[in-house]
Amino acid sequence: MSNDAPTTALRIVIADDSLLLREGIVRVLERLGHHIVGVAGDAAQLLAIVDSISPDVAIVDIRMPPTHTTEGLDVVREIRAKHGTAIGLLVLSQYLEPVFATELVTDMQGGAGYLLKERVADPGVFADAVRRVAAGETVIDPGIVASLLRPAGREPMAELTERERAVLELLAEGRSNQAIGDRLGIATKTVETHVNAIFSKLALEPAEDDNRRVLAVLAFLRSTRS
Amino acid sequence: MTSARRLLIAAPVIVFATSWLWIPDTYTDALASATDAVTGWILVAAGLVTWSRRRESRTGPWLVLAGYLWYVGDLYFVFPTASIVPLLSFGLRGGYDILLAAALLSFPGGRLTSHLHRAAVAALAMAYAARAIAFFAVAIPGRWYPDNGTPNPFLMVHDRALAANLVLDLDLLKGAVILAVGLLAVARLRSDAVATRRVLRPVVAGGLAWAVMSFLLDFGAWLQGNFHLQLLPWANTDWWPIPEYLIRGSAAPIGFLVGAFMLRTARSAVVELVTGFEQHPLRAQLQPALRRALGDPGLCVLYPAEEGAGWVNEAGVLTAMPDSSARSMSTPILSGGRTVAVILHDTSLLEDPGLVSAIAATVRLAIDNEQLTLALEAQLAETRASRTRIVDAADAERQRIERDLHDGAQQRLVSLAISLRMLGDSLGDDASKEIRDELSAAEIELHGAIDELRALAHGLDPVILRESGLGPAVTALAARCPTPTSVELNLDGRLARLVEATAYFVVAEGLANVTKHAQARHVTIRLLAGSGRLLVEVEDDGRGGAQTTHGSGLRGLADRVAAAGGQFNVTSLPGAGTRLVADLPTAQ
Repeated sequence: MSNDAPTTALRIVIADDSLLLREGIVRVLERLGHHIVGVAGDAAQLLAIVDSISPDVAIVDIRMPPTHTTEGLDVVREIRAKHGTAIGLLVLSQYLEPVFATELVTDMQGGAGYLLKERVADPGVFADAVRRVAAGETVIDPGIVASLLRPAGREPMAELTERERAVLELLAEGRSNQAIGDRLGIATKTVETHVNAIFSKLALEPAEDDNRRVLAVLAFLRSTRS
Repeated sequence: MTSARRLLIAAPVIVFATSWLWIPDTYTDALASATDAVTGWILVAAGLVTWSRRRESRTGPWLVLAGYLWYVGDLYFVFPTASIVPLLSFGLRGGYDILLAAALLSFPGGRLTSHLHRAAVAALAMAYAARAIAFFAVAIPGRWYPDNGTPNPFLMVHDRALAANLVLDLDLLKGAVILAVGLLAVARLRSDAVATRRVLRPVVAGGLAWAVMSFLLDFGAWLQGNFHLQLLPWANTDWWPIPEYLIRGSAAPIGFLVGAFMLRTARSAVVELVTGFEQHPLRAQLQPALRRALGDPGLCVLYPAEEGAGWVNEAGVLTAMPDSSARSMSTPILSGGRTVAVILHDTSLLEDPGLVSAIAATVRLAIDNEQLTLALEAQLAETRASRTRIVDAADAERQRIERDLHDGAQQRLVSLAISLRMLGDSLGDDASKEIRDELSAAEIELHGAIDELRALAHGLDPVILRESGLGPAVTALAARCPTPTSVELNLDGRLARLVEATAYFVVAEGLANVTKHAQARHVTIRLLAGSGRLLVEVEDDGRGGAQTTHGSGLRGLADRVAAAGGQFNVTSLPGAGTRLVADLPTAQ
């Protein structure tokens, strides 16, 4: 989590209808050492660019012309359907809406992320997210995870320890055991123990794969059962 | 005239008639005496009933007067020794026949409408007068009437045979005129208005019996030169005078009494009319109701055409106004100086002006009432529509503001946050701690603003509701609710924007209330669509006791639901949880 240039420079396409914001994102990414290989103002432009360039990552505003609602979600699905997991997809969104985020990552099965727009101004989080979607990981905005965890007092959640809740939060953001251990300053082995405890307390099927693990946790958090 | 006053007028004859029951020893026998008394009663009763039902009609007073005249022939029994009373009693008897004839031809209106009828009554009166004059001129005491020692002061003719023939001829003439009156009455039954035919039937039946019997008695007397009917084989039996007397005297009064009881009062007709009205449309039922109430199957109701001149019927079809004829006439119904309808009815209705004005007033009230109701309904519909338009416009406006916030202010703030961070990075290690702290505080402030703006935009127009629909939106609401919440959805596709927004608003406000007040352990949300309706339910197991009156949130919900044309209901008994139900129409 540093502002230093990443080990790998990525080829990135940006789609956002706001020129102001597009410029901002470009500046941040360039400072991070990535190559901006194309910018688009709407979904059609983005598709054309992606088809001709095949970038490593596409960063897409959820809200674009013509309806200014959730076009971004549709276009990333289209890209995924066409190009497979070769292109990491990061949706930037104004909406703190867990439904959009969880549906997106569930559909994508890795290599996709849902990030609140203002995270661009937090280069640590933003750079991390870009790198992870490129690496095929799943990224969920910490704000979304927090809103999913907020309804406290639900029976199985109440059984988790303080440390287990912290692990669960990072788990839901899509992080690996290694990343969780780094963040919390504990050994990867200890993280594994916590994850097992969480899965058993929440009565979830154990999942070896990181992505499946995220989806299981998200599915649990989204469910309204108590 | 009040009923007490009418009764007072009839009182002497009632007392007199009743007294006859106690003096049978002065008469031929008790039965005949009773018959006399009862006939007087019946006449007076028929008169009083007719009088009370048709106050403006002369038929009632005529019948009461006939009751008085009925006893003229009996006066000599009461005052046998008084001067010329027996002479007058025998000479003037039968005067009530004139009144019976007039009543028979005018019942119940009290007017002799045809020349023939007037002529017949006049002829009867003249025959009566001639017979009375002849009687006074020829009557010899002891032979023609009981002798009480007073001579007949008017006696002029002493030829007994001539005298007897003269009186009998005039009696026959009178009997013939009475028979003619009876036949005219029957003809009247055939030709008169349908409206009065019903009540005329018993009257005419009684009158005909009276007329025929009167004629037969006089004819028999004339044939035999005797005052008793000898034509019939049983005429000499002991019992015959009773039915003879009954038919001669009581048949007509009984007919009148029955007819009088059948007369509809203005009040009863109005009551029947008013109770006959269902809900509007009034026009469809006014004409049949009036026909029923007034017993006039030819009655028509016409309304002024809305545009231009002319008249329309209840179906709005232009109809020519028939000319007033002998049988039908029109009564306009005025309201606020304007003719709102015209009733074409039988002239016989005019026999009872009270009825006509009561009916006119009733019809006016009914029409006014219907017009007010229609105006009110139109106003209500317009109010509902305008309320829906206002809510719609407010929704559209909120959506526009949400869009402006996201595309304008929020983008700028995020962009500003990026710039600040860039600035911070560019400062490098040269900047003082003070500047760094200041910058960091500004960034935190900025992110707070972005969060607030997002919450504001979401509250204005939740994009998930617009994009994904009611089910996902409500599920998202439930997932955010701190109280465990289960959601039962039975939705089929998307609904109209107003319906979805209203339902979402009900659930959002309901859950907010649960969190704030209910202290519930569980909440159930139900959305059930079908049969053109959407049922929205938010039910908790909390402490209940929610107030709709001063809980402005619930009040606002009720208004909101009403604006979508739905119904809102809150059940919240203390200790028994709270249940909000909104029933919204989905079929547009």
